[in-house]
Amino acid sequence: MALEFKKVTAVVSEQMTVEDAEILLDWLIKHPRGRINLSACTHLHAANLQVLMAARPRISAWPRHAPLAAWIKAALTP
Amino acid sequence: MNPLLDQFITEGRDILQTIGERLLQLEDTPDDSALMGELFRLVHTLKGNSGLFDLPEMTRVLHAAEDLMDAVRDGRRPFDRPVADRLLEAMDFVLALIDEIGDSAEAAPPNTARHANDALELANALRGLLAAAQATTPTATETEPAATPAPSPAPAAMPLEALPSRIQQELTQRLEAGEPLCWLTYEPEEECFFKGEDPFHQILQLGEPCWRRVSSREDWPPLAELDAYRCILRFEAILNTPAEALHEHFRYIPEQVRIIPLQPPAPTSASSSEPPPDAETTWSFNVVLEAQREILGLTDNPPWLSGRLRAVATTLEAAFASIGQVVERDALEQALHSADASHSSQPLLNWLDEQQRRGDTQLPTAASPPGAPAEDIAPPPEAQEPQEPIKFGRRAEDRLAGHTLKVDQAKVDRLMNLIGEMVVTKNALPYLANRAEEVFGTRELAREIKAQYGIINRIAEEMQDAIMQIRMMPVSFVLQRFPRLVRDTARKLGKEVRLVMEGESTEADKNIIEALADPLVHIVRNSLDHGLESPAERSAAGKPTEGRLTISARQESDRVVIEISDDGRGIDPDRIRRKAYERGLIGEPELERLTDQEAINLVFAAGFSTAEQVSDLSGRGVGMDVVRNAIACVNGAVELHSQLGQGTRLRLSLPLSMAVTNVMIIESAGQRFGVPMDRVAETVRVARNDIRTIKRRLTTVLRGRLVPLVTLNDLLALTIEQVPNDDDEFAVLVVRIGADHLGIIVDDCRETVDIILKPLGGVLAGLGGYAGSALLGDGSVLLVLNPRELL
Amino acid sequence: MSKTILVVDDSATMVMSLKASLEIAGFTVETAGDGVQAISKLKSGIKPDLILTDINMPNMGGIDFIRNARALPGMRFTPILALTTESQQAKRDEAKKLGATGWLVKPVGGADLIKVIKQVLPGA
Repeated sequence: MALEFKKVTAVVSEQMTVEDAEILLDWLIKHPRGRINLSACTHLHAANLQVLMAARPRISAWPRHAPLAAWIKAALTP
Repeated sequence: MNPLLDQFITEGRDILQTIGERLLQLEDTPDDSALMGELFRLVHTLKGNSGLFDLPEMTRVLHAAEDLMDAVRDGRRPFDRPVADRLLEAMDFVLALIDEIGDSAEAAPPNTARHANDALELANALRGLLAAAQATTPTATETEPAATPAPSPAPAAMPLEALPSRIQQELTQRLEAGEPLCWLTYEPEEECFFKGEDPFHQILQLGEPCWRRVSSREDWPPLAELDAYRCILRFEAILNTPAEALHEHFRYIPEQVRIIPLQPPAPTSASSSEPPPDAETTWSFNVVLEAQREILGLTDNPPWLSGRLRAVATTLEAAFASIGQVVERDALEQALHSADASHSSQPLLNWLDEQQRRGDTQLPTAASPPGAPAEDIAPPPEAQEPQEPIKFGRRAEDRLAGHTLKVDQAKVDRLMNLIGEMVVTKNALPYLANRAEEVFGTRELAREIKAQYGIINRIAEEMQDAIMQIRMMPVSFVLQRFPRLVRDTARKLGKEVRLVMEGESTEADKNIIEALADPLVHIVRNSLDHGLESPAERSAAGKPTEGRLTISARQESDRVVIEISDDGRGIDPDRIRRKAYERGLIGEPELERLTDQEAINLVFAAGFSTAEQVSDLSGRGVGMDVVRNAIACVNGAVELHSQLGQGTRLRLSLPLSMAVTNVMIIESAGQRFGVPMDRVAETVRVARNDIRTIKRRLTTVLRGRLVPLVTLNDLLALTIEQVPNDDDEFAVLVVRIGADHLGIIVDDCRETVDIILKPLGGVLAGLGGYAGSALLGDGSVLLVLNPRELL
Repeated sequence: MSKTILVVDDSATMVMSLKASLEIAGFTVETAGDGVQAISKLKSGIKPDLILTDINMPNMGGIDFIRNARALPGMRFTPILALTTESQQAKRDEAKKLGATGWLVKPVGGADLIKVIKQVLPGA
């Protein structure tokens, strides 16, 4: 499981799979002010990217993996 | 041998076997699409497998075969005789290669390059059929649309203007520096996640872009209505990656990307076509070629000549590639190969001359377009089909394919020997019981020994049965070659023959089955050659033009019976009589007296051949006598029935197993001998008075029939008189020798026993007249006579 | 944790070769001889991270296998690569339409195989 939920923060570790997208979406629906910690994320499936783009949650930490961070920043900060 | 190669060979043989069968079936039912599909799949699998190894000859032929089968399956080319013929030839070739690889002990497949010419010829023959089909129906071709990327929409409005000016500037600089920048737009289809795709993963593999944008193709709905799995993403990027590399990266989804190579703002005349080789390239190309010519011109013959030639060939190929000229790889390989074989550089020089001559016509303008596959250049000589079929290696009929017994036969034989000894040893127990009772007077112990014997006996018999089962194999093992043999032979003779096989699953001992192989081939060839008539002759006789040849196998009690029958012209007894008389096989009296059946049986006489002229099929003077002897060797019998104009039927009857032989024990000159029961017609007592001497031969009359007599002691070259019983009657064993009966006078006939017959070994092996020896329960050795040899 | 790959091919030689290449690259390999076998493997709880399937197979061919596999609950998003020959453009298109992620052209070299798998399988 690449998702861990702590109160208002979802912490993503390693890879977010396509199946995780629904869980993430559910959580974001229930926690409209929820934040996402992506620092340990190495990859996330496009479905998750889509959910993040639609929800625009606050990112409390960007991925340490620079190329991934660059793309997610581009997607979330137009 | 490495396990993968081993697996390839085993599987390859199985596949080839099935391909052969399916091809023949398909000839009967050319519209069976399931069969066609299976055939294609098999050829396809084999080709795929061959590609795992460095076997270019095999792959080349299989590739051509696959393409042909593909065309046949799609209806672009009818399945007809030429197709079947070429495919069967191709499979023979492949089998020969597989056998060669299987025979080599190397870990890697041996080099099969010396078959390159054959492979080329075969592949061309296969492709010739394909080309002929395509020439006639050019519309239906479903070849691969050249890997052209999906037509990118024209870059109508180059969106560069929309980018920030800082980026625009940077792009211009990089473009002027010659970087191959491309504008990529990737709009993954909505259901792409359900095809296992991760567009983001694809994007991340592209490297750091000069510029990027991720957007959605629609406005995002409220979160509660979002379908996370309907992809509406759009990725855009400007990348420092050549367009071809991007096309390659998105090769599975070309319709979802747009790739636009960016061009420097200052318009140049750079055309999209490949530039012709510049002066420098041409110059170095010529230098390289001259150097290679010099090397090839060397007349020494060093031990490393082969390596030198290979190096030159590689250099030449690379040199031609450098000016964009694709060389015909196989022609080069072939030149290299013959150079290697002849220890001379000449073939390579010839190739080079040819290549340059051809190149000169192209070079001034430009190199030939790159990427033209060598395949296309290699000309299928003509669309015509070669007249003479090409022969490769051993034909299917020359070899028993497959290995049904996976256990080393020596191991089974050892088991067989051991159980034989066990059976004999166990037979000593009743003797022991008798001794216990009679010599030592312990009846109780005797009874217990007998009880134990009963149990051991049962187990031993079951074991023997089980071991014999291991050795059993279906008759199909020898029959499987016949569809092909009959087809090829009939075609060669211009006859139409339908082969019907029945009871292929009937089983018999491996030795019996193997002994059947050669006689059967001979019989079938005889039938095709002499028995079945030409179509014209048949229709003149009011028969269907297609002859019928039936091979049936079945079990009859403890024997396996094989019948080979045809509806051909049958055997003419009069002609046989005449021939036999001409050849001095019979005298004038017999000429009159012989019944038709007896006359027909004369074909089994040694040196008899009914063929008007010796044909190359069943010929070379091998007659039916050889067949009969071969069958007799395994205690089999042959019967021949024929009806003039109606057909001929040969009936082979063989024991199911050679392991246990039922023999009658006889006594003569104070010795015991065995005679196989299947030779014994009856045993009778004949009074001395009833024995007459006719023409200096002993004879007697049994049931109104004259039976010649011989004494066993005479046959064994013993100068002892046979001993009659108290009533002055002689024991006579009447044996069958072919269709004749003969009485052998012995001293006494005793019981029959089952024995394990072992051939005589050592110095005794050469002794004729004996079928072998066996151990009896009391430990004594029984010599088993072979009456046929004795006489 | 190593990724699991299910190899479906009726040719034992091909399976052996693919398995060897994949295992050298550190994948765990499951195998099946045709579509029917593969489906029952998937139903029995094996959940591969990627599937490699031949197209021409007896019993259930690759095209039908892909369609059936996609209908299984855990297999909706699993990458599937079809093993094809260069002459099978039509089959490839059909396989793609029915849910294949991509394809490989036989004979597949070990290096190419791993390269393509890495391209479609994140984290491989």
